[in-house]
Amino acid sequence: MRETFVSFEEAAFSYDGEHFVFEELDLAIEQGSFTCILGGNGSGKSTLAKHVNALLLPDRGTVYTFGRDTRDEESTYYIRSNAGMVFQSPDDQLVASIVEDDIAFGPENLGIENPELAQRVKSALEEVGLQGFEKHETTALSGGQKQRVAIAGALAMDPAILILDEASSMLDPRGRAGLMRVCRELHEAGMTIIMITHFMEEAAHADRVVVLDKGRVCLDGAPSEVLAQASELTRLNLDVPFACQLSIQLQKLGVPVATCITEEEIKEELCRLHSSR
Amino acid sequence: MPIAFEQVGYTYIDPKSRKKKTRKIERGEKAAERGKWGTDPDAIWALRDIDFTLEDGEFLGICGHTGSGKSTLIQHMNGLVHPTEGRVLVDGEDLADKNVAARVRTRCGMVFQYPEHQLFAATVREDVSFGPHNMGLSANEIDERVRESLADVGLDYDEIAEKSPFELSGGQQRRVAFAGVLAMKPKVLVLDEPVAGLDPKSRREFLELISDLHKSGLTVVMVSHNMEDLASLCTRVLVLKEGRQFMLGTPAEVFADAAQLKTVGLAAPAPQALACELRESGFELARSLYGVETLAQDIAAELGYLTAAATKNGPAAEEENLR
Repeated sequence: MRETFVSFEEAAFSYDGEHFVFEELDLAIEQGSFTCILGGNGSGKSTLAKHVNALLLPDRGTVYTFGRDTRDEESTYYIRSNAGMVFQSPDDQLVASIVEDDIAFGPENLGIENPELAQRVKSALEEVGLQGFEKHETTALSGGQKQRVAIAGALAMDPAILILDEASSMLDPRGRAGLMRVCRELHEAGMTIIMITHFMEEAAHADRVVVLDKGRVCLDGAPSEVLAQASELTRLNLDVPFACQLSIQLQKLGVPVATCITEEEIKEELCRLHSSR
Repeated sequence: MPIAFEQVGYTYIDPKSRKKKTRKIERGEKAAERGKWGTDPDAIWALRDIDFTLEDGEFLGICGHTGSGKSTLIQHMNGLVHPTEGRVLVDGEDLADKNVAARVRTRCGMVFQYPEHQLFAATVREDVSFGPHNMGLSANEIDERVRESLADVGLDYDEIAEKSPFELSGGQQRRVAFAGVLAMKPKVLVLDEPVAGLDPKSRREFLELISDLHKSGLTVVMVSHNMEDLASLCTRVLVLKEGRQFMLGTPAEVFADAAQLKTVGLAAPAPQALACELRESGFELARSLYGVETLAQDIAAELGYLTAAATKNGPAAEEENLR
C-alpha cells in the first residue's frame, strides 16, 4: 500500500484575508506518483505548491506533508528538508557563482559533511546530466542548464518529493525537453514529483493530471482521461493538446479514431486505419 | 520604412582585441587547436552574412536555437548595436550614423523579453508617457497618446492610469510595457518572445493584439520558439543557425521540410510535423503547409471517409495549398 505523502484536507487560504485563493481544497498525493497540476493564471497552482513544504500555511483546514501537519513548527524543518522545490525563473534561485557550490548549499545547511557532501553533489549532477560542470560559473549556463542545476541542488538534499513550480516556462523547447527527461528518469527511480505547468505535452507524460480552477479541483485523473476533455479544457482557458484537437476534427468528419492525447498515439491509430483500408 | 541588411556580420569581441585575435587565427590553426577560441575561427561571429530586407507591412518571424543570434539580429534593427561588417540601411540611410539611429529609434519600437521587468515609474500613466515625453511632445499630445495606446492594448485608462504598475497582474504589466512602446507610434514593431511565460488565455489574447496591430499597418518582427504561432501569423519566416541565415521564406516554404528544421534543433508546427511523418508511412498529403483543420480534412479524404459534400465546403484554406 502506497503512503500518502501530501494531503490537503478542506484547506483554505487567502493572501489578504478577504479573497480566498482556495476554500475547502481536498487533494491527496501518493508516494511515487508523478502529478501534473494545470490551471490558468490565478487558479491557485503556485499557492498550492507553496503549501506542500510549509512556505505558506492554510488559514483553515489542514495540510499534511509526510503525515505531519505543516502548521506544526517542529515539523517545518523536517518537511522542508524532504520536499525540494524548483521555481520558475532560472536566474532567481541560484545562490552561488560556481555550480558545485550552489548544489552543496542545501545539503551543507542540513549539516552534511565531506566526503558525503562531495558524493551527493556528484550524484546530483549525474542525475540531471551535468557531469563535468562542477567548476562552471552559474551565470554562464543556459536557462535549461540553470534549471537543471536548481533541480540538482534540490536533489542533493535527498528529498522524498520534488515540486516544480512552472520550472520549464522560461525555457526553450530543447531546455524543456531536457528538464522533462530528467523528471521522467527521477520518477522511474521512485521519486514523487509534483509538476505545475502550462504545457500540455508535459502533462501528457505524467501519470496523474489535476486541473485547478478558482481554487477547486475540477478535473482529476489519468492524462488520457483529463486531456481528452477538449471542451472542458477550453472553458478553463487551457490549451487542448494538438493530438486531441486533431482526433476531434477527424471524428467530426466520420473517421473512427479514439480521442488521443499524444502524437505517437494518433499516428499509430491513423497508420492502423491506413493499412486496413 | 524598409530595413535592409547588407552582408551584416557582428561579433561581441572587443574591436581592439579582435584585430589581434583575428590575426592570430589567420596566422594558423595552432591557436584554434589549443582550443583558445574553439576549433572554428567563425565561432567569434554572433552574426555572419545576414542579407535580407524587411519590407513595409510584412510580419517576419525569426526563430532559431538558443545562441543562434536572434536577439543580436533584432538589436541591429534600430541601431542598438552596429554591424562589425556590412551595413543596415533604413530608408536607404546607414544606421551606423548616430543621427539616423536617433531618428529611427522612435519609429522602430522594440519590446524585449519579459518587458514587464523594465517597468519603473510610480504610475501606469507615467510609465507609458516616458517614450512620448522623451520625444519632446506637448503635454496634451502625450496624454492623448497614453490614452490611445492603453486602449490599443485593451486596458481601461480611467481604471488603471493612476495605479502602480507593480500592483497589476503579470499579463497586465506586459500590456502596460507594450503600451509604452506603442505610445511612440512606431512604424515597425520588434518583439522578442512576446508571449513567453504567459498562460494560454493571455497568450491567445496577446497574439490577437499583435495580429491586429499588424493588420492596422504596422510592420512586425517577432522572435519566437513557438512554430505554431509563427506558422499562423507570419508572412515570412527567417530561421537562424549559428548566426547565419539558414532558411528564409513563407511559412509554407520554411516548414515544408520538418527534417531540415530538426537539424537546427527546431520542430515544425505540430500538424506539419505529423503530416511529414504520415507521408513517410505512405499517406498522400498534398498541401505544403498544414493546420489542424486542413490536416484532418486531408487525412479523412485519404482514408476514404470524407463525403463529396464536405470536400466542397471544406477547404476554406485553399490558399494554403501552394502547389
